[in-house]
Amino acid sequence: MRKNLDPSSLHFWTAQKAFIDGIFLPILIGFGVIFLGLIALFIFIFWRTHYRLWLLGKPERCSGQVLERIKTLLAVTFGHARFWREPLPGTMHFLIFTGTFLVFLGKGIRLFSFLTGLTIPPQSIYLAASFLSESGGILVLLGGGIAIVRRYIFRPSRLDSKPDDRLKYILGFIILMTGYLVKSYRMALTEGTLPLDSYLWAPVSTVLANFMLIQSSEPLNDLLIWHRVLIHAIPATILAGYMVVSHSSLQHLFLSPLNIYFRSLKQRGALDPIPDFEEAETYGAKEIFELTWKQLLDLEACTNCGRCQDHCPAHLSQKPLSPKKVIQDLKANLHKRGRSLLWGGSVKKESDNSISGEVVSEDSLWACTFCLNCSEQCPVFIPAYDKIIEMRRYLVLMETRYPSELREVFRNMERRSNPWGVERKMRSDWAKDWGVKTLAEDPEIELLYYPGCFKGYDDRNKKVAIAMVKILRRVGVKFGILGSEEGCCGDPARRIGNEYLYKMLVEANIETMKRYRVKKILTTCPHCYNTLKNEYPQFGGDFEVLHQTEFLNDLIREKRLNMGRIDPTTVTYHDSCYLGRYNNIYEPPRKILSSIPGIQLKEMERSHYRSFCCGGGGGRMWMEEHLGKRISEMRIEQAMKLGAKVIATACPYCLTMLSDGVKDKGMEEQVKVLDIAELLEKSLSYEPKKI
Amino acid sequence: MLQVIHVLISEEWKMSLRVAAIAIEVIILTAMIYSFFLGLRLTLSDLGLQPKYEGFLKLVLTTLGIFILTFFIAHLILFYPGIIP
Repeated sequence: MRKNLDPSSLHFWTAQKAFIDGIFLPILIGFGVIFLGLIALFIFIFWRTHYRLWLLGKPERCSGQVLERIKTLLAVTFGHARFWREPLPGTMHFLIFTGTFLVFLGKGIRLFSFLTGLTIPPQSIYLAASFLSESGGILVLLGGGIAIVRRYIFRPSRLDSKPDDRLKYILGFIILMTGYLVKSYRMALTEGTLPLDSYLWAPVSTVLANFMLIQSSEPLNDLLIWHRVLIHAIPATILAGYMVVSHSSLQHLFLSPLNIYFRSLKQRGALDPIPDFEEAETYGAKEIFELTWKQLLDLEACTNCGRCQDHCPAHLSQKPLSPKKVIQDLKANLHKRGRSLLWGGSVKKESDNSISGEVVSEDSLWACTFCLNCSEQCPVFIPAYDKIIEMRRYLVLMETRYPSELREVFRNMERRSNPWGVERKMRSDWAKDWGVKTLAEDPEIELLYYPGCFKGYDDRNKKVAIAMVKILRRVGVKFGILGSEEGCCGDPARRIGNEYLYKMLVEANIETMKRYRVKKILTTCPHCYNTLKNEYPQFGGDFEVLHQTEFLNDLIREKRLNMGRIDPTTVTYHDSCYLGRYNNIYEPPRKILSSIPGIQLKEMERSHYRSFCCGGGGGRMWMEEHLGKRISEMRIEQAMKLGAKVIATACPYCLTMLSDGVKDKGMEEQVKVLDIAELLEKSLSYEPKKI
Repeated sequence: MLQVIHVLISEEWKMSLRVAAIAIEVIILTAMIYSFFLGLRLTLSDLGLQPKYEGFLKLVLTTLGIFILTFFIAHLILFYPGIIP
């Protein structure tokens, strides 16, 4: 508390109060009225052009788990969770956000102090608030400076500048600078010297006050103060008004928190089934309003930051897909369609302009690998894949428009329950030599081993299935397979957009599994794992599902395996998207590899949640890769930078894509692609060379 | 320490920086007028102004902006003669 002021300070503060009473207060009241009007306009426009627009979307339940939602909202808003993954943009946003928060906090406290008479003599809280505002302004200027340098001087390719950005920076800069100028001019006008401690509570304004021009007469000075306060208040009003009326990216101030709060808490990557499939007249999304209200909110909340694009394997391999562009194009379409709502009109739900194939090109839609990197990187939790699947569903189910090579794949899956169309009875031929029994032969099992299509038909992957069988035998687990009764899990059909086929495959599998009273399933394929675990429950298939990496890691932890070794080699682990980003399984595969003596594990630059796709997900495995570079070859180049001799995977898709990539690059001598089960089995059966 | 800082900021230095202060005043004014009209243009195109009118609107707003800026600079000179040494 500051109670005993020296006479000069008292004079200073009395003069300050006179300025506040005579000039600031009338202007504050005048603009306060305008701001009240702006708040009313904001509510009106929010209701008309945002809320009513979202209501045109399909229903989606995004409530419940309130505490979890608030926790995430606070973590992202104040803690900047996800922003820090990229230090420079993270720091930039943190400085701007924190600075703005401090400016408003400081101004709020000072207003409160003024109204409650704490200004003369100034109490500590008033001076602290002044310091908060001043230091907040410096933080915003620093953050804004970084933003301007990033956007206009060293611009990363993901940023595309719009006039809106220019406007934000100019107005923000004017408001801050005029804020300092107003205060410094007010301080300079007080006769006599400034209080000696003014550097502590007004560091910037005190410095500036020394350079202020003072007029010869009091009325002129008063007039100049009026002028300066107005050039502070007018830009603030322009900025607030612009944010309210336009669709400026500044609206992320309220749209992003809303989107974070209402984010989906469902299992990530588990696609929603089509509701009322039997009764529905249309499938997927042709029109923007065939997306759900939350998907429409996603579009509005996108700030165009481009983090998604920087991690999209399709974009990085020069394919015509940018998740940012998909979202931005859909957003532009949404605003165009919803314009008439502002004037009280209605919106036609049908238009000539289909989003599937027109607003978003077909090439873009088919380039997506469903790797989920876009939604993993988005700071405000906007997924692109959920919109893409709706558009794919429309193209496949309503228009029968899809890459021609998929026609055969669909037919094969429908007739023989595998993408290659090999006879169903040949599915378990690999197992016969190893005496693996089917459930039809012996239904009394602890575990159903569900190898999936790749392990059943692909020669390279059969070796992985055999390695897994050997390990299961070593630990004495009683397991069985479904043999020719096993069908494709359906994952490729679903992610291509053929929900009809997916449903058919799932129902057949569930029926078979229920018939054998299956409780626990072990898979070696992350695609099978993801759909069996997270999507089969949508159709009544509730099973305990384990991926081989979880199962093998448990065996090692429980010391049920007598670990051998392998010849010393450098291994890098390639995260499968469907295991890592979809199911958060990052550590078990690494623990398995680290436990094998002889392996030196090295991480690629893009690993864990930032991992690069192999290019085979989202049905891309069965589509030609005509455009751009091969994603798998890019991944191999990333591994080769480490000097890895082995690329370890835990996914048959990745194994196939990367093995093909190694062959195409002619690098079979330099690097091998092996499954973790193969490496483990190799170490278990290690025999020292006899001298 | 604080007294030292006060002394360091000499009168001569203050005078030389006043020219910069005048420039800042004019820059702020220009930026304000520019941002006001840019905001107006963006809002109008956001509300559905057809792209074919954008060129015309730009021309009108630029002319208006230059006129207003000239007016305010004249206003500054007339009403605050002390600003110009």
